[in-house]
Amino acid sequence: MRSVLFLVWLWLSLGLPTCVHAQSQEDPVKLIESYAALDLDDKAQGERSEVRFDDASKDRVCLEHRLVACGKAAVKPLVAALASDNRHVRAMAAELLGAIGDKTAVPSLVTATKGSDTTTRIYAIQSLAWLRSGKDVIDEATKDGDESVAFVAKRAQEQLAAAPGVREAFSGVDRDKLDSAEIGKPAPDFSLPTADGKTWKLSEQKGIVVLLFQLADW
Amino acid sequence: MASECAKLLELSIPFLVDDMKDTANMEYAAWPDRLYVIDASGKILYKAGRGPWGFKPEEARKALDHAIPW
Repeated sequence: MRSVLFLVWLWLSLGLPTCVHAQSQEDPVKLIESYAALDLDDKAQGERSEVRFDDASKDRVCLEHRLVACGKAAVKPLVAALASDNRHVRAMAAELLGAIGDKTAVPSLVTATKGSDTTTRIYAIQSLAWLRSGKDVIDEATKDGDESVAFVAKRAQEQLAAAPGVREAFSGVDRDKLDSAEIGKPAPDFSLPTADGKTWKLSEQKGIVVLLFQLADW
Repeated sequence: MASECAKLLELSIPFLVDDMKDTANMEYAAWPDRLYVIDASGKILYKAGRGPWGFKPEEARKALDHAIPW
């Protein structure tokens, strides 16, 4: 008998964060160094080695949140990190500069959209949208030969008009729960109303469930 | 708006909207986008990288192939 498969698509409203962290006093340079020291290259994980999972790790996610919590103090180090020889650091810097929301990063992000590293280009375009800047660069990127870049640029065009408090939403996440869903462990339970007014609870579902979290930032 | 979207897409599967406190997202800290596959026993079978660029549909497909007794 085939298991029942549900695809649950959650549109997340940014809303008000449940806890807003005060600006961190941590040294962003040291945080970036710690990030660069992580082993983030793709590798097999889990018992089924033939299925390659991503390298996302609690350490990486936590460092990113701590960097965003540094606020303006992290901008200059992250701008410098856009030139790192570590591709993961470059991409992280491009993404987090948008999350921090300081427009002094815009010129560097514009430059980053023209690099050879696709992932960094994509995050730079996304960050420009969050900063409501770089319209010309974004418009140009919609015609990029790389489909991924063109796709995110088109999304960025839509986001330009509405880029709500990304930093507040990002830093408001509970760090103790960061990336808490681990392979092989019970999925964190939750209940939400469905579009037709019923209550949907994860632990009551029978069969396989696919959860797709989609941030609605427009 | 979510209800209208569900109707327009003619979704036959549950479609949820997180509350203003981001309750579900807080449980998973899945910011900004993430895909999970949960097996029939309620355990996480597959977790994609942070999206939107951490999604690798072929990996999710492999995980589902392992989980579903076709």
